[in-house]
Amino acid sequence: MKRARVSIDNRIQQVVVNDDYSVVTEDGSTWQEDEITWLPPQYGTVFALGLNYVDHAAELAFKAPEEPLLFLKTPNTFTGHRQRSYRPDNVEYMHYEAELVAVIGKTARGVKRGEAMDYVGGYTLCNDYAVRDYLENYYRPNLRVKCRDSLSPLGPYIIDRDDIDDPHDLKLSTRVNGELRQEGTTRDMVFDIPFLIEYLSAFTTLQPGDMISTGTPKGLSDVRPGDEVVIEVEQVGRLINYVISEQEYFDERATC
Amino acid sequence: MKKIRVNTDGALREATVDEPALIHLDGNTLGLAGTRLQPVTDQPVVCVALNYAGHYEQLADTFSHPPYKEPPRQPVFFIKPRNTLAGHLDEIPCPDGVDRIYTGAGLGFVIGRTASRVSREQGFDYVGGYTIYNDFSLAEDSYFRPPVTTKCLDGYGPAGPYIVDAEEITAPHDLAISTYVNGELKQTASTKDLRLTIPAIIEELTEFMTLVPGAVVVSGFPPDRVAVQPGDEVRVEIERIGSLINRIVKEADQL
Repeated sequence: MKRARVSIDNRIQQVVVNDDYSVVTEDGSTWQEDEITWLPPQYGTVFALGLNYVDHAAELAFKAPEEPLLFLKTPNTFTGHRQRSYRPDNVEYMHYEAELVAVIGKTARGVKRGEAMDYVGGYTLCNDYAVRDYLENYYRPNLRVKCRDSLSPLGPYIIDRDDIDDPHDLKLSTRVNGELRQEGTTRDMVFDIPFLIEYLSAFTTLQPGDMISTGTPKGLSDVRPGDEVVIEVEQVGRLINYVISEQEYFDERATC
Repeated sequence: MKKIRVNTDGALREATVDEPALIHLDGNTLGLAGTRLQPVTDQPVVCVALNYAGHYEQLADTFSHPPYKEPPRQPVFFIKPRNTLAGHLDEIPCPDGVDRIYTGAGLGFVIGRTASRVSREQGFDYVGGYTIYNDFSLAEDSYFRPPVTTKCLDGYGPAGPYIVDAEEITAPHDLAISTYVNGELKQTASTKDLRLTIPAIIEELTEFMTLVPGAVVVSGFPPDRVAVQPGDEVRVEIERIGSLINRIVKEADQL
């Protein structure tokens, strides 16, 4: 089962999503993918992983970390499927990152890796955009890079854990305007989902709705206003995002 | 008598507080010393690091060396997520195998209305109130990677006891901050030493992050954090606001 949070006629509701991305509301009416506003499926804490694919770490001239490189994302940065994200003016390099996200289903504290998958409720996708111009070596990656308004599309929905055969054997890809730019497989994760749940729940309580965004493989490239960016993870789904300019974004917000 | 907002039951309510620290709420009087209060926010807290003049100078020599290579060009922020939220009199767990944890007294300001792309000239218009924050942390030996494993333990961000309305605090950049452990004064600082002022923090942060009403931003942490251990009572006092008290316990005793 796939469940999403959407807005229909300005009413926020939970819906069930069909394979063709049409949705069914609680009162039984069906809406097409482009007739509704998709919202982030959850607003919990996002624990995100840096350099968690061997090939990506090599691409950035880092060796794979011996301990997870964790950073956090704040709710202001979340947006939904088919929404718009902005590229700041006057930056050289903003790239997508296709990521599989494990969504916590029940409270987890002190969980061992053998039981860790019991605490996963489902999966979603994150396009963990980064504006590399703002990187510097203090609490890297810093908030200006990773917590900017609109730059973390999440969704489109949460798919139940048991609907995925093996989360560590899924192809990931990113297409920009239809062109394949990033390709990888979750087999290449450095730290897998059970490891990360054990690691995180050793010092923090993971709560239902918290998310672990498991990192991205190699294949980064710049995106520009006007680009359509589609990230896809096999069996899970695809998440569409449109890049717009800073001016367009703030003009749109002003008229909302 | 100060106008405050206090969280006794999961919702912020208006009350007043007077000098012997008695809260007047709906005709009842609560003795603050014995009243456990809920956190004053339900949002992730954003904190500013390296924002006290003395602290920055202490570290300045290291900034030109690896892993930093050059001094920060931008303000250094970090996040305390929702599992770190705690209130007045909540216990702070010290993990097994850890001897000491560290205090982080700071002045928090509370956003009063939605703030995006606010200039420093308008910054104060978006401050609804002030609170006391304590950024508990394990020992932190580097500022290179985000401080998740050191600062995001459950309960490591008590805030409170209450929010004092902004109008009550006429000089937020001239407040004494004191940290007491078991009644003994261990650290003193003044918000005069903030490198980025509150309106400047608002300008820098809202350039990229929309802040919603009720969000707490902590303006910075004085140098020389105080080491504490299980059994210690930590009291952070900020002039004109009040005192936030928390006790350190062994994690094994709390679970």
